[in-house]
Formats: sequence, structure tokens, C-alpha cells
Amino acid sequence: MRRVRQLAPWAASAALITGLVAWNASRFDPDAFAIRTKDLSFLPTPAMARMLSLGQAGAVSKLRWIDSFAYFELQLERRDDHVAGGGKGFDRLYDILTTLDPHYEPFYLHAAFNIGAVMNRHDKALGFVLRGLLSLPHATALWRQAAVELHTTYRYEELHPELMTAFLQQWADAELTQNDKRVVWEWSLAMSRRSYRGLEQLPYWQEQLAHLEPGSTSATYVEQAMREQLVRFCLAELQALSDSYRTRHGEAPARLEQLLEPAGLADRYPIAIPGLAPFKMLDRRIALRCDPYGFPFELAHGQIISPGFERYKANRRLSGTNNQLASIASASGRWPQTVDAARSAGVTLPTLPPGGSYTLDDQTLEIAWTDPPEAPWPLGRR
Amino acid sequence: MIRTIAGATFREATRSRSFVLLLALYALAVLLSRVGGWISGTDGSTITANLVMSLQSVFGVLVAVATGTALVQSEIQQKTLYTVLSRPLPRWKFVVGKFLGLAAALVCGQAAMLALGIAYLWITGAPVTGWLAVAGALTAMEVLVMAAVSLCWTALSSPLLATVLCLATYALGHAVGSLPGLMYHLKGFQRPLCVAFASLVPDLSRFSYRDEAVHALPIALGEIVIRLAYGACWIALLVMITVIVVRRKQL
Repeated sequence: MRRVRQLAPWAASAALITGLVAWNASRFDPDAFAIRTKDLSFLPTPAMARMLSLGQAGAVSKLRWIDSFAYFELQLERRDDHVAGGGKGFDRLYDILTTLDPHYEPFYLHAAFNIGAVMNRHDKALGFVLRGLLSLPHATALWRQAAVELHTTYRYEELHPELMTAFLQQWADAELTQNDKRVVWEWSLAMSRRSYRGLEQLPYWQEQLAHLEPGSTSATYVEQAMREQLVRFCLAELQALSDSYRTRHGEAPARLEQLLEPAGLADRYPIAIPGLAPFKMLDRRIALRCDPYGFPFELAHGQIISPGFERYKANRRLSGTNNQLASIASASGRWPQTVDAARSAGVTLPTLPPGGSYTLDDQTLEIAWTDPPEAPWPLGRR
Repeated sequence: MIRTIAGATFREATRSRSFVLLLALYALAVLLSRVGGWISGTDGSTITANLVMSLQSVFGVLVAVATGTALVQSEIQQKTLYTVLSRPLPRWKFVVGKFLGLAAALVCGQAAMLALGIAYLWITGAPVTGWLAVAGALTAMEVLVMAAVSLCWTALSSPLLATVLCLATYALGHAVGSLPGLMYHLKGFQRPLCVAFASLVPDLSRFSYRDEAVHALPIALGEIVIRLAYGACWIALLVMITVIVVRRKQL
């Protein structure tokens, strides 16, 4: 009997522990899992939240964030995040979180997604992203998010190209590696192709070039960007002169020299000829300059052609051709040994401008070019 | 004599159940901290690091309060205090020895917590930088200040009340760090009154470099020295108050 009395508490404890563990574990029944939803009834001001975090702002912000995932479900489903007492729940929530830990990037990205993409309050979303950039000035994802908002929501490229350019330049300057800068440059350059007729971006590229190691990959990229903008500008100027000639004479010019008629030049440039226009002084007369790549401009049926720019475009197309070559080689199981074999195998080789010929170096198609007759335009360096 | 008392206190503190159990509980909480990272949908490293560094602070303070408030009381209960004080020993030496022993035990505990926390972060793939160690050192100073607070409150009140007052001091100590951002709500005499009361509490937010350390944001050496000096000043003041109270106390 005494033995039973001694063992009874142990047995009771063991039974209770078993029961409680089973009780707790029952809540984790996989069949009973459901998305948790809850209201956020307590969203103090950011200053109060910091005070209540008792020195553990970073940890508290993350726990609050995780806890609020359930709230997201509810609000995203309803597309309405009004909270009791007025105001918007998401705005207040992210205000608190970013105040508690201003250096945690996911807070800003989630704010942009939930407030901008879902709740359609893009002004607030952009505000959070820009606030994030103040704390995390080198965060690529935040710059990208801000650029996307400006581009898609505010149509900056279309309505304010100069502001969009300025923004992209700030972004590129904020990036720490050359590779990351080049991603922004790609965007900037593509935008200039779509939105600019002149040389609006040229000073920025000149400044970038001044800070790069001559001959480096990035320097080459910037030089290409500058030459592309210069040649587009030159082509636009010469084409305008050609069109002007056609208007005056009723027919397209047959020779490039005809574009230099004083009447046409005076009409196009009533005050002065721009410094980077494709003209030069030769024997005290205005003459055509070569294109920025060092090739003389050409004229075909009233259209101005830059052989250097055609070569540049052919080089840019080459990566697509090499992709096609790789996929055909993968499908057939063997690599063509010559350019003709590649063409026979189905690789589409675009016609090259004069002076260029395809070569096959191992498994890569390349283009061999003749040298330009003149030196390419010098590009500014500090 | 101070060294003897400190040594005995160190041994007593490190062998106490509350000290060992809270350390064990800290280890368990550190292991569970990764769950927060998993739930977040991010790589979880930052969240785990935040939680681990906060756990060091919270558990460190709990250890300081639990151990600090029990030290003198246990001496009275076990009647060992009378044996010690019956010798020609100034009471200030007793108090200083007690604090130094407690501080040594807490520093060891903090070092163990920091080592465990950083090792866990390293194992789970979170970026580990030297700034975490700096944050850990500042947290250790925060814990030492709280140990001095607990010693002081114990001298002024009962152990249970001292525990409550210590936790309240911890909350207040962190809250005063946010006060400057809320002062614009106050008008007239409220401002100087608020400043006066807030200045009576150690500003524990000065030791909160944890969040910045997790993001590897640097802190200047001069700033570290200033913060440590601030903590040392508060410890000196609180120990002195404790000495004054204990000298006047009828035991």
C-alpha cells in the first residue's frame, strides 16, 4: 500500500505529461491546418512601438512582421485595410516596422508590394521604397522597385524623361560594382534609344567614363553607349538636312555634299552649328566629318547611313546568332566546323555591312572587320 | 577579503539553479530562433541573428535579476551573513565583494551566451561579423548595470519586490531612450519634469547596438568607450548607494 502511495504521484504526473503533450500536439494535425487570419487591433505609433520594444526593436519588428502575415491574408482578400479609428493598416504597420528596424530591406519591399501592387496606393508604396533608400542607399532591389514604380505607375519615361534619366543616373552612381552599374546603364541606354533625339545623356556618360579604367570592360561599354548616342544624333541631323533638301529641290540628294548647301545649313542652324554635329572645317569650308566610328557617312535613296553604326548593330546581333548556333549544335549533337557548315545547318547569318565577314572560332561565330579609314572620334576623359 | 567574498559569490552564483536553468533555457530559445527565420519567407539569417542577440539581453537581465536579488537573501536565510559580518570586515567590502563576484559570474554567463549564439548563427549560415561580438560586449555591460540595480533594490526592499522593481527599471531604462522622440507632445513644465524623472533612470538604450550589429553597421571605438564608461558610472553609483544602505541597515 505504501509502495502504491509512493508511485501514485509519479504515475499521475506521467499521465498528465502524456496527456498535455498529446493535447499540444493535436493542434498540429496536418489535416486541420488552415490559413490563420486575424485583425491587427493594436498598431501604436512608431515612436510608441519603439518605446514598447524595450531595447529589442530589431527582434520585436521581425516578430511583429511574422505575426502580421495572417493579417495580410485577411486584408489582401478584402482589398481593404482600413483600421478602427481611421487610417490604413498597412501604412501604419510598415511605418512601425521600418521605424523599429530601418535597415531591413524586406520590410520596404513588402510594403511596396502590399501597398502598391495590391492596395493600389502607389504614392505610399513609392514613399516607403524611397524611405528605404535613405537607410539602405546601395540596396539594388529598392532602386529597382522605385524605378519600376516611376516607370509603370507614373510613366516617368514618357512624361518626364529627364527626371527618369536623373533617377537612373543616381541609381547607377549608388551601385557599388561595375556589373550592377551596367544593368542600370542598359536601362538608361535603352531609354535614351526610345525617348531621346539629342545628346541629353552624353554629359552623364562622359562623367562615368572619366572614372573608369581605360580599356576596361565597363569603359568599353560606356564608350559604345556614347558613340551610339553621338551617331544617332549625327544621323538625325543629316537626315533633317536631307529632308530639307528634298523639300527645296523636289528630289532626294544624290550626293552627301549636297547636304552642305548654305541655304539648308542656314535653315537648320539659324544661330550656330552644334559642336557635336558631323561637320568640320576643311580649307575654310564646311565639310562632312566621318561618323563617330571613323567611317564616312553614306547616302542611299535619301537615307543617311553610318557604316560604323551598322557594324555596331551587327556586333550586337551576333549574340543571338551564337545562341541559335548553340541550340542547333545541341540538337544535332555536333558543332559545325565552318561558317558555311553553320549556314547549311540552319543558322541564320544576317547580311553584314561592307568590310565584315563571319569567322568561326571554335564554337563561337565572330565577325572580322576591316579597319576604319579614319580614327574614331575621341571621347572626353578628365 | 574582497577577493575571497567575490570568489565565494562567484561560485555560489554559477552553481545556483536559476543561473544554470536560465542558461539552459537560453540555449533552447536560441535553437528555436531559427523557426522565426523559416516562417518569414526570407533566408531567415537576419531574423535569427536579431532574435539571438535579443535573447542574450533578455536572458542576461533575467539571470542578473534572479541571481542578484537572491544573493544577500540566501546569506540571511542560511545565516552565513552573520558569520561573515561578525568578523572585522567593513560592510562596504562585503557589498563590493558580492557585486564583483556576481559581475564575474554574469560576465562568464554572457560570454557563454555570446559564444553559443554566434556559433549557432555560424552553423545556420547567417553572416557572422566582429560587430556581433561588440554588440555582445555592450549587452554584457547592460547586464552588469542591471546586476547593480538588482543589488541596490535588494538592499532597499524585499527580494520579491526587488525583482519586480528591477524588471520595471529595465523597462523604464529602455523606454527613456525613446523619450526624446516623444517630448514634442509635452508642454510647459511637463518637459523639465519629464527630463528630470527620466534622468534618474539608467538609459539602457545606450547599450542597444544589437540591431545595427546584425546589419554589420560599424560603431566608432570612441562611442564604444563612452557607452562602457556610462555603464561603469551607473554601476559605481548603484554600488555606492547599496553600500550606504547596507551600512545603515540593522541586520
